[in-house]
Amino acid sequence: MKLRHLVKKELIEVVRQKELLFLMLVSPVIQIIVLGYVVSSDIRNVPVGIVNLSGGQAATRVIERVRRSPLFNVRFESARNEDSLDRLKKGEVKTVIVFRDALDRKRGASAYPEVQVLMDGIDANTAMIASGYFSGIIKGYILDDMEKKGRGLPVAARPLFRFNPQLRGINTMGPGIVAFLLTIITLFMTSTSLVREKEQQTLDTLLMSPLGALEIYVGKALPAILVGLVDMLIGLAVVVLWFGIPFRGGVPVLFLAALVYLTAILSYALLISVLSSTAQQAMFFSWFSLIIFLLMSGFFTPVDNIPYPLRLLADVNPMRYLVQIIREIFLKGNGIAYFWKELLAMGAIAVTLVSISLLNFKRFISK
Amino acid sequence: MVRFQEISKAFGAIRAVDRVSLEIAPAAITILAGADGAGKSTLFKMLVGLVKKDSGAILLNGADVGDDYSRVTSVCGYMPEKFSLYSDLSVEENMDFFAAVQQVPEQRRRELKQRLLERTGMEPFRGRRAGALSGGMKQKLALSTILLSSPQLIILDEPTTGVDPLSRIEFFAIIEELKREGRTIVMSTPYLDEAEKGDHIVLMRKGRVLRQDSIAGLRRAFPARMFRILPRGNVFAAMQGIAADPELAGRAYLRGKFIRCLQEGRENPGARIPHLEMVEEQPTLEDMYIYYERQA
Repeated sequence: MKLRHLVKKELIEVVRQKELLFLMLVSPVIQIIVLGYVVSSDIRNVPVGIVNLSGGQAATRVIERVRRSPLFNVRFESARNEDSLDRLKKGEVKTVIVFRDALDRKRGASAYPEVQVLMDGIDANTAMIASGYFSGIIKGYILDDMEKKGRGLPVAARPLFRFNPQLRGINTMGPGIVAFLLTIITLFMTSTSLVREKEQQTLDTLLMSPLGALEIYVGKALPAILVGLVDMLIGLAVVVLWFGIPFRGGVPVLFLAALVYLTAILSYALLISVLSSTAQQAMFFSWFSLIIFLLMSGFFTPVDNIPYPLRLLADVNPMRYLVQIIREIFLKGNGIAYFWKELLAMGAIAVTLVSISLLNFKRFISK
Repeated sequence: MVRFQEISKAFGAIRAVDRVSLEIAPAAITILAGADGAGKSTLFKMLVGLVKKDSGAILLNGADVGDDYSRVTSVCGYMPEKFSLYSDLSVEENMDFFAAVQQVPEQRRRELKQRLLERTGMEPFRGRRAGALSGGMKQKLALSTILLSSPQLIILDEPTTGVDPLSRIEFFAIIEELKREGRTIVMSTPYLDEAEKGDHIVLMRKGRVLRQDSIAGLRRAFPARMFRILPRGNVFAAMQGIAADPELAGRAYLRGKFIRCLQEGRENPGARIPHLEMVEEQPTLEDMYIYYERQA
């Protein structure tokens, strides 16, 4: 079988290039660990400045709670409100919390202080989350205080977080990183493989051989699928063993989803390879595509946040479905019954991309 | 064995091959010679179907190939201009791979591989990566890989470009041997001294055939005489004088300290060029190419 020899040749080439081998086997581990820590949306150690103009007990207790919280890192506490805004401007702190006694015209000073929270809005995400955390501290204090006085709230919502009870950001990001890894390795490896043959003129020799277009096409894709699946296994091991992310689903279903995804992404990579004249062009196309895939995948922000016309683009992004499926498998332990629609969508994208890519490949070799 | 009939190919506004007709005789060496852009590589690529011809016909053993290039590729081995093997694979792995995709049976592959490794002197380097071979060895490896399928027609696109002189001699010895085995060889070269080794020589320029024949036939038909002149005084000053002389302009060129001057008719150029020495020589292929090139 001629295809077997082509696949073997491709794999030998991968193994012989030590730098490439390192990038394929070691870099995924480094990438996952680094990304796992960096990409997490958990907010910790937000630098905070406190201006306490109140002097009341309530303010002191709330400040104590802020100090105990791992979410905030109190950089300064002052009884005067002179240069706090300047410190916010300089970036020494991201938040300044000002406590002052509230004046109630009817009853004199209120039991609770008036609180002003000044946030650095440049990092909107951190500001929003930190603001939410601080509101939570205040609410917690008021609730505790009311319960002590025997005046509990008539209705209280106590949310129960399923699938990720501690709301660990890495639990959401980790599976997404596996999807990202699967994309980056295979996209770059494949998009440059055919164009490299073009540059070296080895493609002419292949085209002259009895190998058919489909055999060359599949011969290029198969080794990348193998490498991709090996990388996915490495990624799985790291996110589960290093970050302790629960893997509740089945491995076979994950492999099935990965296989469908790889078919789509490799077809796209081969299309890039056919359309590019040089490896440099192919790399540029790949980077450009990777960023679009990533930003529209729900990896960082929910796909629902994407405005309508761009949403259509997200709908044809195979990575979007893989990120969703992989999270469901990891955290919810879901099977195909829960995500067959996404799998089907990914399959449809794969079939379309294979057709376009193969057609272009055939057109290219018949020039 | 192969006949090109009025073959043409244009890339945009550039006519890479312009109504070329020529014949590649069986069991002989046909050499296409010419400068870059002469259309040699395009002609070969059209023969194996890597580039589609715009017009004309290619006949293999008398039958029109049409669009079914597998008829050609099934009997030929094509070695592209650039080294086109896998640098990360060893000599032996490259040979195994190409033999496998050409579906050479395992037993025959082993025997042929061994024979070719010994014949080309590559045996000690069988485990070396192709990328680490010298230019000459790379070309010998490329030739070996195409010989694994025992092709009847061997197409070599500038196989000796960038190859050291000793390797070129060795390479030609192998080609001569292949010819003795009855194989048909067609190759291209920019080196005109090398082209003289062909049984049939095709001089090409800008997609057109200038002349084609055996070296003896080309010499017979050559309409000019060749004089090698050692000028008196500065050779560059003598060349300036030639350029200004309407009778000689465009007929002389410099080769080392000598001026090679082509002269039609009986007139002797020595009368117009002050010289220390002048010898009439048999024109070389280079002289003929320059003459026809300037005529065109």
